[in-house]
Amino acid sequence: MTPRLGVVLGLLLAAAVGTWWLAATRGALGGTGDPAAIASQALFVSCLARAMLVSVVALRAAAASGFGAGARTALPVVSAAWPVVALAWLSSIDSLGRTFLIEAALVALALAAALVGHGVAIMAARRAWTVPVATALGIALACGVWLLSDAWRPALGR
Amino acid sequence: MRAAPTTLGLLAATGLAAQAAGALELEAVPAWQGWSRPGRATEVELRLAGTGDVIVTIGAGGQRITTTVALDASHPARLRVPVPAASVVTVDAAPANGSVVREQVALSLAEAPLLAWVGADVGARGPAGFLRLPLDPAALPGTVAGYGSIDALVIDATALAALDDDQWNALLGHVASCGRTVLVGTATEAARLFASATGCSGRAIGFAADGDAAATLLDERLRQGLPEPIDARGLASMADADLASWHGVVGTLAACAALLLLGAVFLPALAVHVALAGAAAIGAAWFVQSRPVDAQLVIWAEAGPGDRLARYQALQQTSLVRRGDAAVTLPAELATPHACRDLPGATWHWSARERRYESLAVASRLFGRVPVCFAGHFPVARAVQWRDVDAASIAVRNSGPSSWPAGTLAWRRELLSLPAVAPGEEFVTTSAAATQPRTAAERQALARTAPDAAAMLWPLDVSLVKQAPERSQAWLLVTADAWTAGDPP
Repeated sequence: MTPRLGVVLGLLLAAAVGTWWLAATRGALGGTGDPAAIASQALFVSCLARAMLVSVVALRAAAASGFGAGARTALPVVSAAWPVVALAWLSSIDSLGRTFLIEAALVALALAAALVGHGVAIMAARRAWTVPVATALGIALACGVWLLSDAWRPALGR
Repeated sequence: MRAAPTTLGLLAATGLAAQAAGALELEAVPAWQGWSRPGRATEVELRLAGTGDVIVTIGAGGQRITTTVALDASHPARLRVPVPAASVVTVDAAPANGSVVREQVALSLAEAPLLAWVGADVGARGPAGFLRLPLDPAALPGTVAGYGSIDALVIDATALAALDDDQWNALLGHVASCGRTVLVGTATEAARLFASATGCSGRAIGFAADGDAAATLLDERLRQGLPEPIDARGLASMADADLASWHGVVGTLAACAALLLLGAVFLPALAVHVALAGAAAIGAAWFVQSRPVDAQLVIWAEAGPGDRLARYQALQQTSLVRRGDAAVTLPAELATPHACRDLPGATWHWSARERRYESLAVASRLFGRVPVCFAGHFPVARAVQWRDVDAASIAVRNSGPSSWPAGTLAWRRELLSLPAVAPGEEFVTTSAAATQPRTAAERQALARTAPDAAAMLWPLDVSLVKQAPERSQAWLLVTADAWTAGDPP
């Protein structure tokens, strides 16, 4: 896994969220909808989707090729969405500080997940089941992020 | 040595007197003796005495109004400011040197329609369902917007004579805006003045000899009903959807995606990608916010048969791009600006010198829109008459004093193009030449013309509104008077 894979995954995710955001905003501009609320939802969805993807990608890549590979694959998943995040923030009611904090938390999650993947690889002494176990752990972490998302939804601005 | 304490004492006394002389006095008096209705507009009269510049902030219904007043010790200032009706209106006056003086005014918001009864003969009954308010002339507002609080007005000649200039102008504006009004015991000249200043073909105004006759006449007027003016939604349907900023964002994001993809192909290092993503985000945000602010103005005016005044509603829609605070300038030529919908946190700036709202400050964000509505009237010299020639033909006559430009006739749910018509001339057209509406204005003209009536639609010159944005449009719909051949013009 390389940064290129991370960039591609990140761009695909950002393109999906960005397309939804712009389509919903286009509908709101033609009617009586609220573009600010749509932008806040887009920021929340972008954050949640990246956190879940990073959980799986970082753990798996780090288990396979070490902490460095895991970080180099996961961090572009976070950063590829920054142009979408910046423009959606301009349209939303979320504060700048809160948005920066969320991006910093995503970067920290990518690094932490890579560290956990590296730890799994060391504990499993790089046996054949290392990567599948790390992937399963990543999926479990992603599910945990999903379940906890309700707790941070208000913080991201509805 | 004894002189020093005396001198010091004199100086201290002088300072205290100066401080007392410069102290700010504030009194806030609501119109209609504090009565209004939820969701309506009312007026607060501010009486200020003091010296120097004072910043006055009025808080009402979640909105703020600010104005700066230059006070002169010899001339106390008096301001009449339209405000949204709220249960409590707070007025803060902050002098340049000194502490803030606060006044709070409690308003009574009635659920029932309000009938303001100004003058004598208060024993007469009012229409059923109305809350009758016996008031003094001093309680009437000095701005047209203040009349938004009431649903009907009865006023006698004595009370009319007691009104000041501002109150007279506001009352004439209320009558021109089809406000239901009955004048009791007015002299012929005054009655003629009001009759010429009324809209809605005179259906909103009446003249009675005494209070009982006024009550009966008001009952009749209420039963007749009045044409509803076009609302903000109708005006917005005629405005173009502003998509310039949306297209800009789509293009910007596409460019960022291409940049990141190229970076991943040719410069796959993590540090390069993160730097590119950060730079793309900052550059995209700067570019999108550097786009010009777009605004549109839509004015829709209507006049009934025989009206000398056309009543207009206008919508100024400003599309925002920058995140932060934005100020929207309000054109001086359009009257009674008010929020078309809730604008939480908005601050209206009232010009004490020009006696109007001159700008509106809002929290701005990308794709944000600020709709401001206006309402007023202007004189018209166009009069239209129509008659059926046969089952499929209509004759339209210019019964006014001036030539018409080319326009569109709305008749039997169809549209017919008419050329310019000189005064007194008639133009005959048939339904074979009818077309379907192609624009939102034509659709509005059809929707607002009764099936058994005819009306002429003309575009108006918006350049009279000095700060009108490029994308502005104005329309006048004049309902035709039915006429039969042989009737005098």
